[in-house]
Amino acid sequence: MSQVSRPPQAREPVAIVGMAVMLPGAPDLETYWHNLRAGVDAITDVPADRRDPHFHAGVADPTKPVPPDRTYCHRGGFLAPFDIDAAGLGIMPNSVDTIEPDQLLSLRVASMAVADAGGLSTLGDPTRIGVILGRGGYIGPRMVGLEQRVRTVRTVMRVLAELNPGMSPEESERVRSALLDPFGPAQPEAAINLVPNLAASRVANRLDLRGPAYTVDAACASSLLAVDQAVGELDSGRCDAVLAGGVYHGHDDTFWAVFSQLRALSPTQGSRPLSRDADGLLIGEGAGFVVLRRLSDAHRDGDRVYAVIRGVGSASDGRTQSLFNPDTAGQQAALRRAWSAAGLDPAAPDSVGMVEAHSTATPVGDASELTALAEVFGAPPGSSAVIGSVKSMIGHTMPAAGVAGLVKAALAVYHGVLLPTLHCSEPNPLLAKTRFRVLDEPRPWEGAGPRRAAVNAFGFGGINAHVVIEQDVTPASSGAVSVDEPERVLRLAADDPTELSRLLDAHADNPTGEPVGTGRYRLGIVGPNAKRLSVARRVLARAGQPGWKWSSGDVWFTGEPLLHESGAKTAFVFPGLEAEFAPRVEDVAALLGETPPTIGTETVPEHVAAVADVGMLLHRALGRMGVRPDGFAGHSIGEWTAAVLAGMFTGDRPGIGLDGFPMPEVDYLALGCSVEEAAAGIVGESDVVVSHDNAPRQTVVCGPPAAVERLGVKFRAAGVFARSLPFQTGFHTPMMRPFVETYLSAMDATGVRPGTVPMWSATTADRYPADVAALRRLSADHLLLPVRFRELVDRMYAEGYRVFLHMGPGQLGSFVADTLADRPHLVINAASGLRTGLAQLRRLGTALWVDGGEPDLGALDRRTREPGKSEVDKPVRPGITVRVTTPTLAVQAVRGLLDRRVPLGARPDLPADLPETVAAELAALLAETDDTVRSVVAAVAERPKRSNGHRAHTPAPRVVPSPPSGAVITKAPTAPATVRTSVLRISVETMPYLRGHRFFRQRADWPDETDYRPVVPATTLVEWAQRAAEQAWPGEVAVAVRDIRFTRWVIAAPAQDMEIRVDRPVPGGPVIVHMGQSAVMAVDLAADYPPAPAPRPHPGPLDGPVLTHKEIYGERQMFHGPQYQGLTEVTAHVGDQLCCQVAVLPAPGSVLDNVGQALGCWLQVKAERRILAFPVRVDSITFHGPPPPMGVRVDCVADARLPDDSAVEMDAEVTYHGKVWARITGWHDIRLDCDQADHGVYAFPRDNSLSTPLADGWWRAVDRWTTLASRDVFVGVYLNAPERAEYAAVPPREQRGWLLGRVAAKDAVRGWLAEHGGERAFPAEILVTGDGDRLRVRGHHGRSLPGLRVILAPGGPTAVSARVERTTGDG
Amino acid sequence: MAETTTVFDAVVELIGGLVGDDLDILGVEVRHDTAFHEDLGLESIDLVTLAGLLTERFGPRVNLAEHLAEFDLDDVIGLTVGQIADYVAACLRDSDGLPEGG
Repeated sequence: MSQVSRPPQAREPVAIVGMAVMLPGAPDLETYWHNLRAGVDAITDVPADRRDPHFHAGVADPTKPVPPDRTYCHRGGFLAPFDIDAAGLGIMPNSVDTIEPDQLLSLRVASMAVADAGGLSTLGDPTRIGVILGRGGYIGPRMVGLEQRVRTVRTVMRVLAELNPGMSPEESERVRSALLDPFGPAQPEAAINLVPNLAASRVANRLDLRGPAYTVDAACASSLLAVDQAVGELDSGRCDAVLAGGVYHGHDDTFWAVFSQLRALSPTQGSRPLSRDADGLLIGEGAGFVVLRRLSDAHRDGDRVYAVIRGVGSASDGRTQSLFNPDTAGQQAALRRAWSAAGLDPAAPDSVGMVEAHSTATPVGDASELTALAEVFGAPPGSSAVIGSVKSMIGHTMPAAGVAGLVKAALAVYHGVLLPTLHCSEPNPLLAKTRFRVLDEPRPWEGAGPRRAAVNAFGFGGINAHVVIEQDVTPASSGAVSVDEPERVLRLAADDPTELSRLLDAHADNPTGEPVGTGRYRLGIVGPNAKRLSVARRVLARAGQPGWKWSSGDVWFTGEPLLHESGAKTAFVFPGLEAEFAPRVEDVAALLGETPPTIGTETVPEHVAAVADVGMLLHRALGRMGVRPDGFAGHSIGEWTAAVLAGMFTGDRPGIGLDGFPMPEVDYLALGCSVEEAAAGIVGESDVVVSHDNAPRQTVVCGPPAAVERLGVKFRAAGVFARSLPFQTGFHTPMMRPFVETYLSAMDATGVRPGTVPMWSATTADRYPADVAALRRLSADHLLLPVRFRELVDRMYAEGYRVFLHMGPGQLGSFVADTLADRPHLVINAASGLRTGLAQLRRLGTALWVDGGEPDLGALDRRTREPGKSEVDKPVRPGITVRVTTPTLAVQAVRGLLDRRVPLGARPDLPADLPETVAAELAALLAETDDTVRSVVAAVAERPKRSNGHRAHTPAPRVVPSPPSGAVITKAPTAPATVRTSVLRISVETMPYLRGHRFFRQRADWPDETDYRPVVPATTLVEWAQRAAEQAWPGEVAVAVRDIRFTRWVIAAPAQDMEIRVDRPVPGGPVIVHMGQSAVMAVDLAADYPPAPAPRPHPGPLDGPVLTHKEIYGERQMFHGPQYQGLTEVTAHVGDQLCCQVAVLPAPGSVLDNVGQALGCWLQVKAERRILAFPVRVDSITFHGPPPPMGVRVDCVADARLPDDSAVEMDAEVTYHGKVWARITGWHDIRLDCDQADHGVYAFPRDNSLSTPLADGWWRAVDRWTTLASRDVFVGVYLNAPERAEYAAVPPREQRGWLLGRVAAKDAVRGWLAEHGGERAFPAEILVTGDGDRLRVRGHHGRSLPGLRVILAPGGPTAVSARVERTTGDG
Repeated sequence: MAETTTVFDAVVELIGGLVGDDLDILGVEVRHDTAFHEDLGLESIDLVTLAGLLTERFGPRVNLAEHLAEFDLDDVIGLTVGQIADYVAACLRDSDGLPEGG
C-alpha cells in the first residue's frame, strides 16, 4: 500500500493506469504531452467550415452588449475533423453521420485510453468495468439538424405562406421537400443516435462493458465529478475498473451566444489565465478519458501507474450572490474535502508541487480561485509550488476541462516535469499572496517525497471539484510479467571494458534513454533495476574474454557488434502457423494509430490472417523505429506475408490460405529430432512425408491422421518429442497437389512479380528468382515441397546475414538459434506472449543497438512530429471522417421554385449579357426545376432502409438501392456455384435520378419519357457492379474495377429488366460482372481498401478558360440534369491537363460521371469537331477508400489526350480531403460527329436546326454522320416515339435518306412557323407521316399546327431538301 | 525423500550443464519452482536436449518425451525444475533397479 498512512475512513487509493485525449492541437496523448512541454498555442480562428458568416460578422464595439445572434469572439480551440475506424469500432459506416459527433469522439478517445492501459484484457471482468462521462446538456450538430427539420422548416413555411398567399399546397410541399433535401430522408432508426447519454452508453456498448455507464453534467466541473463517481465505484467494490472522462464538442453557435451574452468571452481574442491581462475565456473542445483501477489491483497486475488519486472533493456554493459568479467559500470546501479524503494537510509546506487551476481567464473567476487557493494552501515559509492552466493553450474545454487538467497533472507527476503556462508574462497580482508561481518553460520536478499535484474544476451554478494525485512510489509486486512500464533503457558504449564499467557506475541510476559514449564495447539494459544491473556487472567482469557476448535477462553486451562487420546483414523473418499464437500487440497498434489485429486461431483462415496481420503490424512498427531489412525470409506461409511486403503479391494481406481455399485433411507431427532421424523414423509409413526441416532439433512430418498418431506413439517410445500440431493444412507436402491450382489462380489474378527487397525461399534455400514464370513455379513448389528452413538459415548466414528479427512471437527464433548455435548472430522476437508489444520492441531495439544497429527507441515512447501539427498518423484502415458541420436548409434549391413568378428580365441569376436563346433555355430549365427537384427528393426518399444514413456528408453515397432496389439476388439454377445473378428493373420511376441523365431535351411538359431517352450513366453501371460484387461476397469491398467495356446504353424508358451476373471463378479472385448486354468488367474485392498513394501535384498554369457550373450546365455543354450536375469548375492546364471540382451528389456513379463530363468539357475547349463524347472503355479504376460522403467536394486532376479524331482519353485521379480516393487509368471516350454548330442543335434543339435555309422556303439537310452512333444521336434529337418506330422499320440502307427527309421537313416547318409568328417548336413536337416526297405534318402531344404539307426534293447524294406547303385542312 | 533430493541435485546439475555459466551471471539459484522458460531462458526446443541428458543419466525408463505428451502446451512452457525432478524420481521409484551410475 501507499507509504503515506491514511485515515481509516479514507478511500483506497485509485490508480490512473491509462489515459487518452483529443484536444485542440493534440489528437493523442503523446502530442498533448509534447504540446504541454513545448508550450504550443493551439488557439486558432474559427475554421471556415464552422463559421456562420452572420454570427461571426463582427460587432462595432466588442465591449458593448451584442445581439444574441452575433458574437464578438472569433477564436478558440478546435479539433480538426477526425477519422474513426468505424469498422474497427463496430459502427455501420453509413450511420456515422447520424450520430452526434461527441459520441464518436468519446468512443474513439475511450478506446485509445483502454489501449493505453494495455487493452481490455488487462482490465479484468468486463461486467465490472464502468464508464462515467462528464458531458453537458448542450446541443450538438445532429440535434441542430433535427431542430431544423422539426421546427425551422415549419417556421420558414409559415413565413413563406404569409408572403406568398397564392402558394398552392403542392407548391408548398415542393418547397418544403426541397428545403429539407440536404437532410436526406427521415431515418427513424437513427433517432437513437441523438440521445445525449449515448456518449457514455456507446462506449459500454462497443467495448462490451457491463458496469454502469452514464453521463454526468456539472458544467465545467463535469469531468472531475465523473472521476469522483468513479473513485466511489472502485472504493465500494462495485467496479474493478472505470473509464472516467469528459467531452465537449461541437461549438454550436447557441453555446457561443450564451457566453457572448454573459460577456465571458475575451473581447481581445486571447486566453490569458492567471495573467494580470486576463479579460475573458476562449472556448475549446475535445475529450479525455482516464482508466482507473484500485491501486492494489494495478500493482498486482503490474500496470503502469501514471499517478495515484489520493482524494477527490466536491461542494456546491449553496445560496450565494449569483449563480454566475463563483464563490470562494464553496471552492475552499471542495479543496478541503479532497485533502481530507487524502489524509493530508494542504497547508503543509511540501503538500503540493503543482496545481492545475480551473482558471479560465475571466477576471472574476481567477480572483475567486486564487483567493481560495491562498486560503487553503496558504504560503508558509519554504513552500513553493507551480500553478498553471492548460486553458492558455487549448481554451476552456467546458465539461472536458477537468480531465484535460487531470491528464496534464498526471503526465507532469509521472514524468517529473513541471509545466509552463502561456500568455502570463505579468501574473495576476493575487498570486503574490499564494505559494504558487507560473512557469514560462518546463522545469524538472525536484524535491523529496512523492510528487503531488492537485486539479481544480469549477462549474457554473457553483459546483466545485478538486482532485489530489501523487506519484506512485510503491514498488510493483515482484514476479509480475505484464509490466507495461515504458521502461527506461540504459545504453552505454566505450572503447574498452573498463571505461564501460565506469559508465555503468555513472549512469546506472539515471538512464537518459539516449546512448552514452561510443566504441565497440556495448551494453544495453532494459528497465535497469538492481537485479539487471548486477547481471550487467557480472557480464562486464568477463568483458575481456575474446568473443564474449551476452543476451539474456534483459541485458545485452558485446565487444564485437555484429553489424560493424563489413557486409553484415539484417533479415526480417516472418513466421508461419505455430501451435501457440497469442502475441500482445494492442499497444503497438495504438502507437501506430491502428486498430489491433484480430488474433484468431480457431480456423486456419483466421490463423493465417492473424499471423500475416501481426507480421505486417510489426513490420510497420520496426519501420517507425527506423529498422530496415536487407532481406526477407519466411517460414511456411510467412513467405506470403514477406511477399506482400516485398511487393511480390498485391493486396494489404496475402490473399491466399483464407476462407474458401481447400486443404487436405492431414496432420502434422512436430518431432524433437533432426531431419535424418525423422526420415528414418517414418520409413514404415509410406503416406507420411517430411514437411519441415526446421532446426537440428526440430523436424515436422505430415500424413493421414491415423498414421501420424501411430508415429507419435512410436517416436515418443523412442524418447523423441512428438506433438501433433493443432491445425490441418497439408502445405509443403504432395498432399496439396489436388488443390494447388486454386492457389495459383488466385495468385495469377493479382499477379506475382519480382519483389523490391531480396526475398529468400525456404523451398530452395536460395533467393527468389527474378523471372515471373520461375516465380510462379516456385509458388507452386512452395506448397508441394518441404520447408528447408534450417538450410535456409545456413545459407543466409553464408550470405552475410547476422541479425534475424523474428516478426512474431513463438518458436521460430529458437529454430534460427538452434541452427546457428555458436556462430555469432543475433536473433530476437519482435513480439511476445509474455510482455506487451512495446516492451518487446524495446528489447529488440536495445539488442539491435548493442549489435551495432541504430534503432530509434524513442519512437516507442512518443510520436515525433512538428510542434503544433495536429494530424494523427493515418491509420492503415481508412477511417471515416467525423465532422461537426450541420446541414442547413437548402435555400438555393427553393429559389428556383418561387422565383418563377418573377419576370425573366428580373431574374437575378442570369447575367445581363446572356444571349437571348440561352436565356430562354435557362428559363425553360428553371421551369423544369420543380420537376427535377421533385425527382431528387423522390430519389432521396427512395433510399431503402438497408442503406440508410445517407444524406449530406454521409460517407458512402450508395444512396441508390445499390443493386439495387428490387433486384432479387438468386443463384441461377444451372450456373456454376461461383455465379450469382440478379435482375434489376431499370426505369425512371424506380430510379428518378435517371431523369437527370436524359440525352435529349423536350418541351417542359412533354409526356413521353422515351423521347427524352434517359439512360443509365456508364459510371452508374460501374458502381452497381461494385455493389453487386460486394453483396455477393459480403465482408469484402470492391477496391478496383478493371477492363471495363461499355457496349450499349441501358435505356430507362421504356422500363426494362437488366440481368446482373457476377461470377468469381477463382475463390478470392476477381469478380467478372456482366451488366446485361451493356457492360462487362472485372471487380477486385479485398478485405480493405489499399492505402492511398501520394496525390499527384497540381498541374501548372491555366491553358484556356475557367468553366463554371453555370457555363457547363446553363449553356448545356453537358446535357445533364441537376441530379448529375456535380461539376462546379473545370479548368484546362498546360500540358493537356485538366482539373475539376465535383460536388458529390446522391445519384450512384455521379462522381465518376462528373469526371467524365469534365473530360467532355475539356474536349469542347480543345477541339472543333467531334466534340460529343461518350465512354466506351476504362482500363482500370482503383479505389483507396469508401465513396466520398454526399455533399462534399472532391477534386480531380487528369491527363487528357486526343490520340486521334475519334477518341479522347484520360488518366485521372480523384482526391477527397487531399487523399487519393480513386485512380482512373485508360478512360477512353469515343467522339461522335458533332461540331460546335451541331452541338448547338443537340443542346438547344428548339432554337437551332441541322438544316440550312435556302431560297424560296427550302431547307436542306446534309448527311454529316460517319458512324451509326453519331447518326443515332440526331435520331433522338429529331424523332418522336412513333417516328422512331417507323425509322426502325426502314431498311438500313434507306435509313439515312429517310432521316434526312424527316430532319429537313421538321426544320422547314419550324422555319415556316418562325416566319409566321408561331411559337418555336422542338423537333419532336412535329409529327411527320407519309412516304415518298409528299409528307404530312401534325402537332404532337398538344402542339397545334396549321394544316401543312411538306414536299421533299433530293439535294444531292447525301442531302435532302424540304419546303412547306399550306394545305386546306385535309391533313 | 533423500532419494528425491539426490535426484533433484542430479537434475539441477544436468540443467546447469545445459544453461552453462549463464546461471551464475543471471544470479539464478535453481530451485524447485525455477521455471524452465521464464527463469532459465530456455526454449521448448531445449527440452529435446534435456530429455537426451536425462535418459543418458538415468536410463531409458526416464522418457521425458512420453511424459510431456500428456501436458498442455502451456504447461510445457511453464515447466519447472521441480516437476522434472519429481517425474524422474517417480520413474526411478516405479522401477526396481537403481539408476545407472546413481
